[in-house]
Amino acid sequence: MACTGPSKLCARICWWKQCTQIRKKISTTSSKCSDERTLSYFPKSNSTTINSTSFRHRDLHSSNVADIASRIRCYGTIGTPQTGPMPEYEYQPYKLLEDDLKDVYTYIREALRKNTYQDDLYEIATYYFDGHGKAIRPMVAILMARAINCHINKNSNFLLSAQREVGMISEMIHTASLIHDDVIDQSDFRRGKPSVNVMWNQKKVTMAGDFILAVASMLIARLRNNSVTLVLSQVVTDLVQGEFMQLGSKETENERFAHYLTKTYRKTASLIANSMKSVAILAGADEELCNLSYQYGKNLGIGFQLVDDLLDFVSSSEAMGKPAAADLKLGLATAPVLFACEKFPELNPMIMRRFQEPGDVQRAFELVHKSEGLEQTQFLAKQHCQEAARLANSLTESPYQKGLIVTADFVLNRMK
Amino acid sequence: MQAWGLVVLLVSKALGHTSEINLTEEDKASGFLHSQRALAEVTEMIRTSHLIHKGLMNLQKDYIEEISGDMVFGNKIALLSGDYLLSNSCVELANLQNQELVELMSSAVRDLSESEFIGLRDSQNNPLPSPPKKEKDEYSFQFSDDPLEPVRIEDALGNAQAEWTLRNILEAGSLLGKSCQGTLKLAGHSSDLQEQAYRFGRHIALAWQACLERQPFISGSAGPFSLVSAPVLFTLEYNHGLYAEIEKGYHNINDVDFDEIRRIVLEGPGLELTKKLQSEHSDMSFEFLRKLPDTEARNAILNILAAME
Repeated sequence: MACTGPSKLCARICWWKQCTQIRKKISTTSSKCSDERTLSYFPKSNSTTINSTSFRHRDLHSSNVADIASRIRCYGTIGTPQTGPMPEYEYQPYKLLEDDLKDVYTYIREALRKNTYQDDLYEIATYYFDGHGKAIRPMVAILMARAINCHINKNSNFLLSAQREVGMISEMIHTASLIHDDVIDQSDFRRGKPSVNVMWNQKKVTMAGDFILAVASMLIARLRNNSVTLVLSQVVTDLVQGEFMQLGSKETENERFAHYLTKTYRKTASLIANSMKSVAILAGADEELCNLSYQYGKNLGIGFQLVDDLLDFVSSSEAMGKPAAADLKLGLATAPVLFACEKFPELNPMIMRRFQEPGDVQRAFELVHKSEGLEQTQFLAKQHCQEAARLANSLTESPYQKGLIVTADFVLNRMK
Repeated sequence: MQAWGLVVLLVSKALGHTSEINLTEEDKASGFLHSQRALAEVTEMIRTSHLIHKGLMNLQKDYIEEISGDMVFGNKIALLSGDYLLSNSCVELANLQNQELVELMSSAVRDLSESEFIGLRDSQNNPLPSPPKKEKDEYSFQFSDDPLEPVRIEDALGNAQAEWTLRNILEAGSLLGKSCQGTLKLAGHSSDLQEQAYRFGRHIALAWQACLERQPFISGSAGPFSLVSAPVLFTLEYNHGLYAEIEKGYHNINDVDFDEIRRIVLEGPGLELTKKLQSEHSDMSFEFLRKLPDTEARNAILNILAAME
């Protein structure tokens, strides 16, 4: 954990000040508060909550991307402080895996093509496999696969075709759930283009989601590995149960936060964690190593979602390819809101009525920016990404292992 | 009524298992394996999930004037409930630790999802028959030998029997066929026998479907029915003029005059041909059952077939 000793803490504070040119002091009172609040969740540390105005008073619709971007980058970077806006990494994961990743979408489209002669089904099913996604799931799966392979067989450099397929499959399961989410939320835009449910008949869209899942299940079965099938089928259940959890919320604040974290695990982290576990199983890793792999994915996944929830408040719609404050509009109270209602209890009734009344979304948006909610979310995300990096660090050193550490940083500091 | 799970269990019981399979006390008492019961449950879950997803509304803004919150919520719950059943079936299947079976059953889910893309659809994705071919050809729908391969449409559309078979293989025959094949796989039977069971399942599902589609035409019936049911398709082939009435439903199938179509169907050979179609599939199912030892389970399936006639 970072921030363990007073000297380190001091160094970090100086750096924070430099970065954000903040005029205010580190607020020890609010940090104490946040510690008690989340004590049961993350390991006790001398955590500080950065009390910055950089996130504040931002209008809902007129956020300046570049401005916010430069500020967020300054927030919690793992390891030593970097200079300049975006660090230049020696082990850029996407560069490292260029060859492995360049054909992922082509492979997926081929697998879908082989499984239907219906052109409109094929068109809907491949709509989001257009090569414009981040492909973060295949990327981390393959990165972990190669890192584990290096860990088990020193100085080796190979990737099993089954491991590559797990990367593909994880993207397919993810996309199948996105397609169903689009119908559920009646969303208009995703990744900067009209979402599937406005393009086609929603009953066909739903079936196309089922189709992608079915083809993914066939690919999983063809790996002929009982454990991998079990692990990946659990992911599908988690995704659905996470979606169900998102429909309801809890009365008390503590329950609500636990509910949110479990939901986040099921909806986002489970897929990443269990894909990591699968590539480790395929590598022949022992239980301990499989578990390390799983834990890396779990922490990365939760960190990823926390940042996602944060970006929903600070990033512009252009950068995200979907409207700003989309979660609030959907009635969802994510981490920034849950943290904010500690300072502004008036958020509680709004959460309970899912921001349905006129002005709720705007008001909640402003209150979140007035509170420390965004900083606290960032802090929690940092905890998870640091833990992921720590786990990756315990693997045998290799470019891919370094890539895993860089990925944890990348997830924390990403802009979209 | 969980008729499909029942057929799967009866087939399991009628054929028993090979000596390599180790039985638990519970298996001995029930007459089928624990895994076979799980498979029968999976069959029902997949089928129900598909029916639920089929029941969704298309809430595209172009088609619905005012989308109410209730409609969106109803869709949400329907979609998630279907997904819940589907995800549970994934886990149940994975627990059986038989990857060939997982692949087979996943291909049945694939086929079901494909079924919603065949031919013309109205704005709520209800199926409409394809325009009948000018001249009746001798094309007959060919089943693929490999159940894992997706179904080819080729020239099926516009030919009554071929179009009906294609639609119902995807929507019904494939799942029951693959479940029957799968249950024999679990009991350790030969691939030859598995294949026969696959065909049996397909035929009994089609016989069943033909039987159901005759119901809206028995005397005294009223109200809507499927426009792609066998009686309508056969009548269209015989009386191309009926298609003018069907075309009224291009935007919404409820715009057609169902009573008028029923009247025309009852005047033509559609029902008779549907009865014949049902008998053909019943006979093929019977072919398979005939070779099995005389057991209570086998006779129960025979009774089901007899009740359909």
